Amino acid sequence: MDEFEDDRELVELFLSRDAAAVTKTEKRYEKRLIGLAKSFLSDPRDAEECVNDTYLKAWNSIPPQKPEDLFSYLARLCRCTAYNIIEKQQTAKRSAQLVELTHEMEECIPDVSRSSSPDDKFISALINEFLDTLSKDKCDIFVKRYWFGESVEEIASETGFTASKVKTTLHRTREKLRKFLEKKGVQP
Amino acid sequence: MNGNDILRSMNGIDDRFVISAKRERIIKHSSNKKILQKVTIGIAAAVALAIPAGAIYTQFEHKGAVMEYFDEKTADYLEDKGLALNYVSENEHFRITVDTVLSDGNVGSMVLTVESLDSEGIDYIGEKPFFDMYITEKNDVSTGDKIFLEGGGSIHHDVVADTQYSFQKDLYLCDIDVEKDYVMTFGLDRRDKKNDPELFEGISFDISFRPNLETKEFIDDDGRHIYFSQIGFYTDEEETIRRLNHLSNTSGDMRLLRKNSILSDEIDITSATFDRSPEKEKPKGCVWFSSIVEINNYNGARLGDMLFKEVK
Repeated sequence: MDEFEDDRELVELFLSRDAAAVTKTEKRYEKRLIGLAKSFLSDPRDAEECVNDTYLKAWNSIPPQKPEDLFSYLARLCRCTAYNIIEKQQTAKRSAQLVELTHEMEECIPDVSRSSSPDDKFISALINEFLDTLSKDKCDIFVKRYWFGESVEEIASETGFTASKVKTTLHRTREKLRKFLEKKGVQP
Repeated sequence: MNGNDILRSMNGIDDRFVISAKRERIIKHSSNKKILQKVTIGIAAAVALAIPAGAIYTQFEHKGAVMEYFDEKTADYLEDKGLALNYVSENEHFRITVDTVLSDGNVGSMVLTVESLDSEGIDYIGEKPFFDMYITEKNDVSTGDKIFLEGGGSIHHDVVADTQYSFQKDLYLCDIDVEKDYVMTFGLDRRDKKNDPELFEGISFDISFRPNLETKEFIDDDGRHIYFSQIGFYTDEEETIRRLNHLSNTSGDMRLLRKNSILSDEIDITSATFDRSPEKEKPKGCVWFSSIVEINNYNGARLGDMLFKEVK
């Protein structure tokens, strides 16, 4: 049975309020979710807390949500939860990976400086528009790096590209994003 | 705004991007170039023969590139006819895809996509994207002459990305024997001063230029012949070429005459060569259309004051 069919079965368990939904989801996706959480949170206990919160949020939101792709849904909940933890614990030490990712993203900030800062929803909409301009390979590499927080070596291993190509692709794509945001009038 | 704001905002990207990136796509990049070449030859040999009716429908890997040089209707048509070839060959620096090869036996067109795979490839693409293409008879690869594939073409800069671009090449098939099988290789632009002969080493394609399009022969009252196909037309008759050279290609001077009708359609062309150089073996008049033409719908052509009718 493929992953998609497994996901549908799991979603059905959530929808029918069967408690086995969470245990089975944990068994299936825990390792990947913990890996995702650790990309953003340095403390393993925070990462564990983040993933547990993810399961709770999934239980509370399905239904009415009925995700087609369960892992992507859980990953999104996990990522948002990780950020909430970071912001709540203002003194919390960010993971080395997150520091690296943030530093790379600094390259995407347009040069022109003004006073106000755009909100998340506005930037999200622009990033969606930007991602649509990329080829599939480039888009996947960018999302793997900055959404899933994967390392260059992990991306290279998954895609079959060399690490050199992944690095260069990311560098060029960040530059493109910077120009794109500049063109859209985004102020730093 | 800082980098963290952008990272956080990515929480809001569409599911389709997350789902696509989540899927693992393993590409086996063999370090053994011979194996890569064998695979390419295997694929090419299977498809290089004349495409039979009811050929397997394949989608273009780089449909956008084909649409740039022709149009969407043409790209769809080529897919339906099994002419989306997607032949791939690569080395450590480049992956080249022959997206399609169109031939009427006299004029042809090829669309290729080049992707750089390492920093050397990227450097080259960044500096000078054109390169030379050669064919050698397949039965004579080790000792045979490399024939330089002449012909202009275009790189559409809208599809030029940092590590990938596509280009289209016009082919003068009237200059080669299209019934033979060839191996196609690549080299640096002859004008390039950089001495790196290994940049394209290991990349080659088994290629055929046998006609894969509908063609028709037209003749005028003076007995001059011209050969039309779905992608262009060709003549080797000096007087015709001389007169064609004087025509404007934007003023409706060239028209195809519809069968069983008084109506005609303007011929929209992208490039033309009218060569009557005395040093050439024979004169050459080649014209390429901007999109596929249903030549079976026509039984004549008016080119300026020349009227050609279909040879029955």
